[in-house]
Amino acid sequence: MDYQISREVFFNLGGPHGVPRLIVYAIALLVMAAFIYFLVKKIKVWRLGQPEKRTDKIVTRLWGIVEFVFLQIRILKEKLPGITHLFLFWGFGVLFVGTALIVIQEDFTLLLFDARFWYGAFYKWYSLALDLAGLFALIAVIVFAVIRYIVKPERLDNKPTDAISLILIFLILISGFINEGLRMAATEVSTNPKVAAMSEVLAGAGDEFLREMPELTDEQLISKANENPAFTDTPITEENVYLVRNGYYYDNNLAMWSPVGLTLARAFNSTMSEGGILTFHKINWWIHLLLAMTFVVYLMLGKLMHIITSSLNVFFRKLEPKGALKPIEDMENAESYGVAYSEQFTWKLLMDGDACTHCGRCQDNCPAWLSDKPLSPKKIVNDTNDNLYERAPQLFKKVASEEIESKALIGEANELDAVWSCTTCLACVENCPVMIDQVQKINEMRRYKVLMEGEMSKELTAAMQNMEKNSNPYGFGFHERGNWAEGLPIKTLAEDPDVEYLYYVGCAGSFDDRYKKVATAFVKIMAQAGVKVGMLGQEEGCCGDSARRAGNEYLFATLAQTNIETFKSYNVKKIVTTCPHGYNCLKNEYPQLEGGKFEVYHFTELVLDLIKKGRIKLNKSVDGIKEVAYHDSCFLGRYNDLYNQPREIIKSIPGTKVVEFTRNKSKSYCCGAGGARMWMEETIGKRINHVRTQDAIDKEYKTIGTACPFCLTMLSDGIKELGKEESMQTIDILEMVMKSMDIK
Amino acid sequence: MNSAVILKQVPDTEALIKVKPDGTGIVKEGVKFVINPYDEFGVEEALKKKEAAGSGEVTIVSIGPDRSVESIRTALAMGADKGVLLKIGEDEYSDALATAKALAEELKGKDYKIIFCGKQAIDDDMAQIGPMVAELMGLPCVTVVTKVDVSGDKAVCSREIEGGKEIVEVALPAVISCQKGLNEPRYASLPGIMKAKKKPLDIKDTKLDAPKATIDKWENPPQRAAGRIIEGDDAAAKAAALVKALRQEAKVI
Ligand code: SF4
Ligand code: SF4
Repeated sequence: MDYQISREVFFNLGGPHGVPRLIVYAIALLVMAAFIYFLVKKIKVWRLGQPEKRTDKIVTRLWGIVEFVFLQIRILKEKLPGITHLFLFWGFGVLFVGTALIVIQEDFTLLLFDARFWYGAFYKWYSLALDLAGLFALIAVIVFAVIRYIVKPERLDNKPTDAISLILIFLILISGFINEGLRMAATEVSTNPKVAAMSEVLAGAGDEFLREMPELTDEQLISKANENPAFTDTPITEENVYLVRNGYYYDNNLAMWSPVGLTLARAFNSTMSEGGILTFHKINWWIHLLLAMTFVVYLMLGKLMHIITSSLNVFFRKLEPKGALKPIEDMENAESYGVAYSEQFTWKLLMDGDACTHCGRCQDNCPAWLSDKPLSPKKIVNDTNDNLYERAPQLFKKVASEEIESKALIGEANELDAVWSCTTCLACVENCPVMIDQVQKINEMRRYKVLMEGEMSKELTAAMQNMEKNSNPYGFGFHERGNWAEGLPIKTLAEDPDVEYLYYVGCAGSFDDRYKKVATAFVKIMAQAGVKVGMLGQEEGCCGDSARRAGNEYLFATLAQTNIETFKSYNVKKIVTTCPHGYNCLKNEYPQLEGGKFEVYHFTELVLDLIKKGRIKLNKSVDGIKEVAYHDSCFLGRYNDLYNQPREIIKSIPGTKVVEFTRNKSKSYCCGAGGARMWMEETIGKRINHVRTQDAIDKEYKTIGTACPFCLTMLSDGIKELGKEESMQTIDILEMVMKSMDIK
Repeated sequence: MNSAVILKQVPDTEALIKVKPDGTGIVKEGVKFVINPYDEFGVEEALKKKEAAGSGEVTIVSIGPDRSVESIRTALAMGADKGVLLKIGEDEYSDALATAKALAEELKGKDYKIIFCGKQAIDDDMAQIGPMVAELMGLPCVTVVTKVDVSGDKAVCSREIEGGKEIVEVALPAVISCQKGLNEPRYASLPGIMKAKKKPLDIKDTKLDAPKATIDKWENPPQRAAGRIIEGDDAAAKAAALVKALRQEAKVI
């Protein structure tokens, strides 16, 4: 009897052998062809970009699909939209797989092996799964519509395609449920007594008949049925053959497995005649089919495209350390540097544009956008994409880049001020659910401005010239670099090369008066803990982080190479830094250069380790500070996932607890100094450091803890400029540790 | 419009300058050398004039030891077309007149409409080369210029004078010495830097005439005495101690 726990394919539409099935196949073929046509068109556009290898580490890449597409890990970082999306994705996914299973049975296993699996217990669970999946998806669509059109958060710009997509999905789900309800009304829960009677008759027709039945055409069924003694009383004719089919699936228990369908079926049965139900079913079935087919074509045309493109984007995502910018290959022989025309981006950066789901999460976390600058990472991605499609037709005609008429990529499609407003805080990249790399894109445009045109703000030019001449952006003579350490228990490697760690001090530790105190604290702490560190003094050079993030790849490479040579000349193996910018640069970017691989640690890692080992003993609380609002440095947190180490250190200080900013960890708000913004005037909108300081003021925090020289400067300035000097202070973690160790 | 720029390589403004113990010069080890900033204004102005004219060549002429090549290349990277180094030994010295003669010798007979130079070099602050070269070549010279407008065979220059501005019209060719404010020197583009490596740079061994003015001795400026922090139990005591020190020790009040 298990065969009866299933349903007829193409029920009410000529069954498995009817003409409608052929029509559907024809439509499906056309639709597939259209889908492939549009996909290939997209691929061609992406291929206008520059080459970039993104096919290494296939297993990791595939695993990413599981993590970020199937499990939706990134999307779930935001609860309501995340869970809603999960519902829709899985709801629709289950419906899709469910439909595909029928195709597999009908066109594959049944055809080739005469095997069925879509019946019995499997069918029951299948029914339940699809029924609930549809329900979840429907709820999700409604929630999304409410968010989009009633709540209307700023980050969502409602375009026609958003509405079309939601309505399309909504109609597919609704027509699907109506289909289910109507079919069940005519079969599983039919109120027609003849159907119930036929079901009785069929019960006596024998297993062999039941197994074959779904396959038989009407004529075959009529002759086959009438051979069977069970049909002697009620011979089957063309008029009542439908009763056989409906009666075949007549089973109240089965209907329980489709709760939504059952509810609808009951409603239909109580309001419509059987003939009406069957006619309505026919019409609705075609509507549902056409909607579904439209969906497939629309997959490649509008918003829904992200289902395809963002999955591709996850597969082709950047696997290098996230804090490392991509180097310029073969700088000596390259003809141009950076990007001035959208087709100069790599194909992957172009694909990013089509993968964007317009969710606006990047923009929501962007310190530039939130302080009223003209930069939105979402806009950068999409305006660049529009620019690409504006140029694509002419590019296909092989018109030279310079001759193509379109908006200029930098200055028109993207505002120049937008390009320069980025603090490279990585909040966009970290929060983008589909792994788009906004920062590399912005950096490529900066590279063009700086390397090709030598065009940047005066202050930034001065900083770069200082880096060129004296290997520091501050403009001090390079010979003064080691002066800060006079009288401290640390020697240069020239004096004593036999050390455990090279302390890479960085420019701030060497030249910034406030941060020199932090560098001093570090040296004293290490001496007390018995860790032998050395420094390079005037042989040390700028790490190049600011140069690189400002787009001056040439200067970065020069600075980095000089440092690498110096490190190598002393046979340096392990390096510790206090500045997170130097840390990121040395750890993640120097390895891109020849001989640039060293073991690099940030002090938070080293100090925490020494605390755990008992070599650093934190004896007392510091200046009566009871709670510290720890401000994540972008280059420690998002860039290198060092979120817990600094917090742990603060917590280890007796009587001290860590309190959190509302925006913290991966959603932390930048101090405003990254991306070489430290060396530029901030003239547009609010000041980023004021916004961040205000966060602390709002929470009535008294002490802001930092682990980065730039954050320390920016937030100290913020406190001063907002007139809170009397009641608030900044302190570096190292200063706290030193005081807690009772070192003078 | 063809023009030339006289360029000198000097120690960076932030460099630590130490006089050799025997007083014959400065210690050059560990000193970063750069283009004399005033000469850099000259390079920029020459490039601007060439761009405005739409044609012409900018030639950089320098006297100095081998290392000056680096600074000439920097000017070439900014966009100058060729360079000439009149090469002398690292510690070879002559006076301004001998230097100007060698430069004038190199510059004459070429069709430079303007010869730019800095108003002075920031190392020895002599401020003599521009006027001397002009004199030796029989050309007019406008010094300490902050604006140059070329029209035909004339240039109208603004120069800074005490409390105001002086507008000078000069017939070309002429020597113009540049002051801060004339322009903002450009940042060399990377293709510029790459191309500069291949631009012609003529190195000519040069023998300077014997100096008529010689430097007898170099000395470090006197060391500044360390400051002193006035001690005291409270503000009033500190103030009293300060007044006492100012009156009795410094004798200023
Ligand atoms: S890196 Fe930060 S500042 Fe730059 S676009 Fe992204 S979020 Fe905005
Ligand atoms: S770039 Fe990423 S985070 Fe930003 S809108 Fe597009 S998908 Fe969302």
